[in-house]
Amino acid sequence: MGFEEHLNNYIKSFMNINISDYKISSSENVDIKNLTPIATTVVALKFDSGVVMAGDRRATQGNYIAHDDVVKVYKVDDQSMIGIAGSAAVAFDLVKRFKTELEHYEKIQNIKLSYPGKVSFLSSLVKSNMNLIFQGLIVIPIFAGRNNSDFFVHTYDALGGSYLEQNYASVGSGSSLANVFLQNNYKNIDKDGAIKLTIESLKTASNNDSATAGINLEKDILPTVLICNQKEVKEVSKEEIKQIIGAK
Amino acid sequence: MNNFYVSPEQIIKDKAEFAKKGIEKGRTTICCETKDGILFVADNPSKYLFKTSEIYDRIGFAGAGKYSEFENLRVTGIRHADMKGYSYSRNDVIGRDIANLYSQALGYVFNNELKPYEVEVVVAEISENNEQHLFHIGYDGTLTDKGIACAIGGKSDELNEKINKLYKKKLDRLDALNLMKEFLSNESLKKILNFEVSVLENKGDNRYFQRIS
Repeated sequence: MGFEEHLNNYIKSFMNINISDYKISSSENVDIKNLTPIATTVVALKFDSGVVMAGDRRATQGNYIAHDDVVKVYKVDDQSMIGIAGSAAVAFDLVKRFKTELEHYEKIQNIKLSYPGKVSFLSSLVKSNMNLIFQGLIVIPIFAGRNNSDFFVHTYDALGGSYLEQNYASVGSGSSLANVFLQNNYKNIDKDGAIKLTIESLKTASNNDSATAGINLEKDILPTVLICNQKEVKEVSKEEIKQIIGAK
Repeated sequence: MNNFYVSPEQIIKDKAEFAKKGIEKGRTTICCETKDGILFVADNPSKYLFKTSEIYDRIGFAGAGKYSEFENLRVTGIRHADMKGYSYSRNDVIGRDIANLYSQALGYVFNNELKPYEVEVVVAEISENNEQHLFHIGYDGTLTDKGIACAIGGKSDELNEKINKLYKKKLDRLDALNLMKEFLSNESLKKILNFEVSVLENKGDNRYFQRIS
């Protein structure tokens, strides 16, 4: 019996809550989307010796900027990373469950789950959120990592379908803007070039998408950037990012 | 129908004898505290069927006796730890809790099932304030907090006496490893083909367990 089955009972206890039962009495049509923070643009792209993933830090509740230091890109293990877009609460839980399940698998089986295994498992996790999608609480992850010596980027749709991406991909409300930018500017580049390109694409997205933040040097809030190379997954420090993009 | 009277003392004695015999048939594993962390050394001919394992961030496991039975306990422990860490927080998963789980499970099986588990296990932990703990759980669920070293499986009684006499101060990992290998080799009648070695050590990330060989 897997950890999944044990979790099921636990998960059911809150997954089956019918959110329409929780209407605030004074207003008739409360849009649940405006009550929960929504997280936005994440981009991932491959470079000559690895893959980089970056996400902006803003979470919005309707027109209100709820948080400006949310982390949307996470290290899963030493060979993969996940980015999330959509309803924050559901998304964070998805990441937590995903990480726990992979660690659980590794400990029980004494071997790591394979990259295709992780991709397909993430599919089933996204699919398990199906009942929340109809309430508007969508979560869409983006997954990238290493399989032996090759690097991959996978995107998902709301129903759990997974898609292998050629060189780059992005998710979230600013993804179309970021995608256009990457289409025009993507070429085979090195690590620093890749970091620069992801940051620039986030900046481009933030120019026109209100739910995506750019670079906030005043508050010293920069996008989260993770790098997966042959050896490890690590976060790129603020100083390094600033140096690469040429900010003070 | 079985109408014979058997005294409870006799039942327990028989079960204990049976379990002890089963455990003695297996090979020995030693767990010891070192200056660097906790060290597991097992006489294990297989390179794939492990006797030691990670339970959680700072908790390790060593089993001796029947493989299927301690594997069962290992998996239960991991599931319990992951469940707890998921619902509460990673720091709330502690060795004592896992040791208690094993103690309850083994105690229950010993008292209520026809056949007791022929296993003994050690739960090792490096606590949050960097103290090292070794919990030993016997086939009947007896839970004891061991000193700085403990042998399980095979002829562990004599070996434990020897270890207690000769390993009084924590050594470095390498010195301790050589000493424990020597203990195991002296104890074993046959030449030991493969040592399974793993450690519980702070390597910088939150998962302390690491297989060495």
